[in-house]
Amino acid sequence: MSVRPLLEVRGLSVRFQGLLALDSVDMTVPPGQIRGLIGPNGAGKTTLFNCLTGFYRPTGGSILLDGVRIDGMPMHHVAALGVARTFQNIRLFANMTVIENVLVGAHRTIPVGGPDQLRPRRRHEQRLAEVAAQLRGLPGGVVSSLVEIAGALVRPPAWIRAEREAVERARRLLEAVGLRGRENELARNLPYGDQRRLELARALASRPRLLLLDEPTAGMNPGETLAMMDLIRRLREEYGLTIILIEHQMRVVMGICEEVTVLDYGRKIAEGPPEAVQRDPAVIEAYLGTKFARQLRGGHGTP
Amino acid sequence: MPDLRLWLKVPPRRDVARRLLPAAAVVLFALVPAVPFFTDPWLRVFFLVGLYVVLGLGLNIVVGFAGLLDLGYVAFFAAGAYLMGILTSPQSPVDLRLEFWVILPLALLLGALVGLLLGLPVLPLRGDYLAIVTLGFGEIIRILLVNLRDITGGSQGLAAIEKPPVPGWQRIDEPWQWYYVILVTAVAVAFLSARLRDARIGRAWEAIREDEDVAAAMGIDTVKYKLLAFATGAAVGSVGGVLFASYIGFINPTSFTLQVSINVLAVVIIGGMGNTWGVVFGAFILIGVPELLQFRETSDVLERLGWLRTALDAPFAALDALAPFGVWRVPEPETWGRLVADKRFIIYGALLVAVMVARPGGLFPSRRRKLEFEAPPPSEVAEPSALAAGGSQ
Amino acid sequence: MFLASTSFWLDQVVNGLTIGSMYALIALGYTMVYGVLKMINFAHGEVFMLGSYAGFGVLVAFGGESIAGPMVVLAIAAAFVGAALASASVSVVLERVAYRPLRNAPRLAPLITAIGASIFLQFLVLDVTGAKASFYPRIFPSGSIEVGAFRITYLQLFLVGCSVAMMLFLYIVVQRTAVGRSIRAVAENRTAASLMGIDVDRAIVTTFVLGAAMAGVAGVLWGLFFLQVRGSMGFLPGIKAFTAAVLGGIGSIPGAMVGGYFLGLAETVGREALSAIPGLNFPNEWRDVIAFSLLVLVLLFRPTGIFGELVSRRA
Repeated sequence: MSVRPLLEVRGLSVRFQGLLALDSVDMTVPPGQIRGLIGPNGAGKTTLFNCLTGFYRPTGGSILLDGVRIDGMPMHHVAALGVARTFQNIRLFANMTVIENVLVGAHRTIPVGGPDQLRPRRRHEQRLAEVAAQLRGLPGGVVSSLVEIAGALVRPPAWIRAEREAVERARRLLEAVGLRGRENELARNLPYGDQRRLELARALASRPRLLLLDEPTAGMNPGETLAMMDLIRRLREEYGLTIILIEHQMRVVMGICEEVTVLDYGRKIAEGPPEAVQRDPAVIEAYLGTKFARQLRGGHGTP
Repeated sequence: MPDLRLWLKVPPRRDVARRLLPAAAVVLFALVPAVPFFTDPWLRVFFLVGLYVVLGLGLNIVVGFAGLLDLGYVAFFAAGAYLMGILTSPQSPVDLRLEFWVILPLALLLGALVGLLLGLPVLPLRGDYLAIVTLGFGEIIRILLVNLRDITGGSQGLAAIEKPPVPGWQRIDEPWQWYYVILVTAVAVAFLSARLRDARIGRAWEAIREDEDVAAAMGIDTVKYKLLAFATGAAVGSVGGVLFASYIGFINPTSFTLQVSINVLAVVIIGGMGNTWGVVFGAFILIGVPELLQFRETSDVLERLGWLRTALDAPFAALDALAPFGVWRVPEPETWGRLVADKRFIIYGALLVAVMVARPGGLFPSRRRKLEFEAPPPSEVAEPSALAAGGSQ
Repeated sequence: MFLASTSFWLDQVVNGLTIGSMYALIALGYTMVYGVLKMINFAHGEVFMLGSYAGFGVLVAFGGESIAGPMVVLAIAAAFVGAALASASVSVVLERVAYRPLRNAPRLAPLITAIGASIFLQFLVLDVTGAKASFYPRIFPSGSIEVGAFRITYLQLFLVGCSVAMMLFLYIVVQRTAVGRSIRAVAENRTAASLMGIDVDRAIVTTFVLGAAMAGVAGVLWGLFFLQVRGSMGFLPGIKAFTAAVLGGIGSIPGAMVGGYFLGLAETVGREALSAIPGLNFPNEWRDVIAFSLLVLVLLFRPTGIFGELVSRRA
């Protein structure tokens, strides 16, 4: 008896004009797992992330989050269902302060103006259907918007409480990632490593179930990398997360991933525990000739 | 009692001066009509400045907060003005004789509705499309106003628009009374827009301005919030229109041209996007000064600058004496004020480019406010990272 | 009334194609700059207007109304060259002063400088001319070709012919020359192009020059056809040409051409057709409204343009 997977990707394909960026990829991630996603440059890793968050609409296949189909859903609905991510090339709200960045991440969790509509919808194939869906959501949207604006203008006690709790929570999150005391600095003024950590805090603020990390240790020195690995493990325990991470450093993959999925040219070429994947001939072939492949083959025994 | 402090927006002690300043400024503004020097023509100019402060603050929500370029703001201004005109002018077919105070909330609604209808098809798309569609829509509105003669009075317009009655008193008509009306409105709009900015909705707007895709990934319904910014800004513009129509008493399509949109945009951009005081300053410099330059008093003062003209004109005069053809000469000083006022749009255009290139945040960029905290612990010294430069944008 | 006469409708079609060919020429500038910089060059309408004035100046220098005989050909050719040069120079200055410093700034910034430049140029010309119109000399030979119910004046034929020739020229430049290749490379991916050793700045300036030259020629054609130039003349054609570019799928050169003709037809034939429906009456001024509603409808239902290919759109 296996538990119901948190994420189930079936036959996912994405085609950009002539290029097949993802070619019927299947992937199943059980709750609580840290899953590594590796592959050479251009293998489709980030494309897969973009599909999982609703940024791209896949041209084929399906994505189920805890049994709910999320492919083709608008991004904010996917986020509301509990998918959060960080970006390979850090994308913070550069001109907002550190704590504001986290508060934006917490947008959905701040009960101002009643709950935003969380009705997951069927995927919209046509622009026309999309417009119709927008119109259908209009009355509810108008009401919740009016309540939100009125709340912001009048500031009733409930509003203040919600805002205060959100600020408190944002501070705790910042503390958890080690950014205490930096709340009022502009995000763009943070050093690189701190920007990565802020991205993490911002993603956590939305109370995700599934956290997607796009190269969380890119550009970090060995010390920082170790600290980040530690942080990821700790956050998983603390917040009960399921994590998928794209990673190029084999050390990180071996160190914290329970299972690894390998993509090459948009196809899944291997999947399994890191040690098994490492020995997989297909994987070695995909990487062969690169520096990375040598590191991989010589990397036996390195944690 | 942090609750109360947050609610009243009582700042930590060190910020008190910053909070007292606006209050002091408002008191100062309130005293202006009591100064005998400021005669009715002055107060009329100040009303105009105040009106543009209101419009600027409204557009600021759209452009400054949410980062959406609206080039047809005049449409909402016209919507409010014509609502007032149609419902109170005896020349309109639907003269319901509604009072000003009934129309004001109606205008708020109408403005928001027009904004919603205009934004709905365009806002789901990229920002630049909004700019061109609003630009065109401003023009369409003018065509509609001229051509829907039965309702709008065509190019004749509508006259004898009602003034706001004050219960137990008279109707507001004197320039000093209007001055207070616009002052109260401007302060109210400034206060309310600051509250929106400091709430969840304001953060959502800023996030959209900074990076729309990431904002969506954070769970923000970007289309909804863009629509809200657009509709809120439109509602403010519409209220400005009601005030304008009631103040001026008659309206026709010539008051609702592209120039109005340009004026408001220039006030917001040159003053400083997102910044209330920037808008006030921008409105004074861009709207008030050109009007004041046309005052008799101004030309009287300028007249004394004859020496400056002689100095400036010297090279031209020398050339004129030598050349067989007429050479351009520096005009009489008393006409300088009018000259600048006449060429204001050329100056606005150049300023928009210059300000954006030199200081993309406007002359007075919005200062980042701090959320209130108990004294934050000293931040650790940032370790210099070789990658910091490459990684951050 | 409804089926007034074949010749009436054929006249409308010819008119539509004439206007449309000018829209198409202007639209090329929008679409090329958008393709390369992903930015709407709001000042493009003013570049068109300045081209029209430059052509006017050249024609006056050639003798205005008194131009006759073979001199007409020479004068018009010179007007084309003059207008294209003037428009191109203004555009180069614009790019250098208002757009280049902001290439990596937030998206809003270049949009604002573009609108600022547009305001500056328009009101500068209005100021210099005292907001009065100038009149193009009526030098083009009148007369027309008639084949049955079909009739086209020489001028209209010339206009359509010129625009087609210009577009063919542009198409060849972009598709067949090294300059064109670098423009396409920059449009595809600026960073990659610069890594491949392409001078990105030069490619962008070339794009502006080509687009502006087309607009300048369109300005002369406009003057020859409508016989009037004024400072505010760039505004509506500018918006409409942009509409044409969107209709055809912004960023696509053939799209801009097709979009231009389509828009020209829609606002002449389309307006007449709508007016012919009993109960509806659209005075001439409403053609602007029609063009504009078309833009909104297209944005609403097919943001990639009527003729643009539907790329897998992100949700």
